[in-house]
Amino acid sequence: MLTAVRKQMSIHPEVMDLLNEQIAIEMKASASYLAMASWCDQRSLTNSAQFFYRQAEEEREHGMKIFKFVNEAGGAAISPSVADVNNDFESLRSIFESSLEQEIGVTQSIYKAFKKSRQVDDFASETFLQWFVTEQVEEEDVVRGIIDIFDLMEGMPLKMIDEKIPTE
Amino acid sequence: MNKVQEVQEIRLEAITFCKYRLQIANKSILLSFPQLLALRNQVNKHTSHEVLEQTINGSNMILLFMADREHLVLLDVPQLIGLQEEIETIFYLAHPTFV
Ligand SMILES: [Fe+2]
Ligand SMILES: [Fe+2]
Repeated sequence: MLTAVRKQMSIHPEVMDLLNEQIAIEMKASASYLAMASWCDQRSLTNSAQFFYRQAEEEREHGMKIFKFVNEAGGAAISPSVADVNNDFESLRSIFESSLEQEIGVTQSIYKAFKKSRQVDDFASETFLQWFVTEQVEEEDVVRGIIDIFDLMEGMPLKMIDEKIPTE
Repeated sequence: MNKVQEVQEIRLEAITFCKYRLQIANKSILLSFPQLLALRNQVNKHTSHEVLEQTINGSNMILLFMADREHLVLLDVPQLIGLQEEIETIFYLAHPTFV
């Protein structure tokens, strides 16, 4: 479909709106991981802290990747407000469990944008989003792997479990 | 207020490759494409269900900056809806001059 704005913008406006939502979600995820990193850091759970600091950076990179894509495609990327970041946690295990939930939520919203771009024949956005679809499989898998460690090492001291947390 | 009057009151059109003209009553505002995108974003925010309800229950009026804050425009709710429709038309409707 050639619209009046097609010469200015190659991205479909509805896809642009969803990608802007996705930017906000990635930035929120980044802020949320930062809160998790701090909780671990304060309790000298070094590997977990490092894991979450790294995640916080990665989520920001994801947000920036989408941000730049939207502008490159002629759209308007919007710097999101990040509100209500939870800084209260009860245990290391529950932190990893909520990070899995968060990742699943991110995956669902990536799917939503992917579906929309397919539905409106926005092939460039669909191709762009493919990377994120694959990335989310990996992201979810890493966190599931960590929750498995908690199951396997149940009853062991927290510090020993922390030593098994991958930092890369 | 009937539909025809509303349409006459607010009109958005592409005038050159990257310039748009927004006509609100007797005010004429020139918009570049980034300014149009910014306006779309503002208008969509104000017409979301939640915000619109607040406006209707409140003053019923909306103040909008346009064209990088060059213009400040006061709109009532029907005008706001009319503006959103005009913008959506520019973004979604096939352009007759493109082949
Ligand atoms: Fe992400
Ligand atoms: Fe992630």
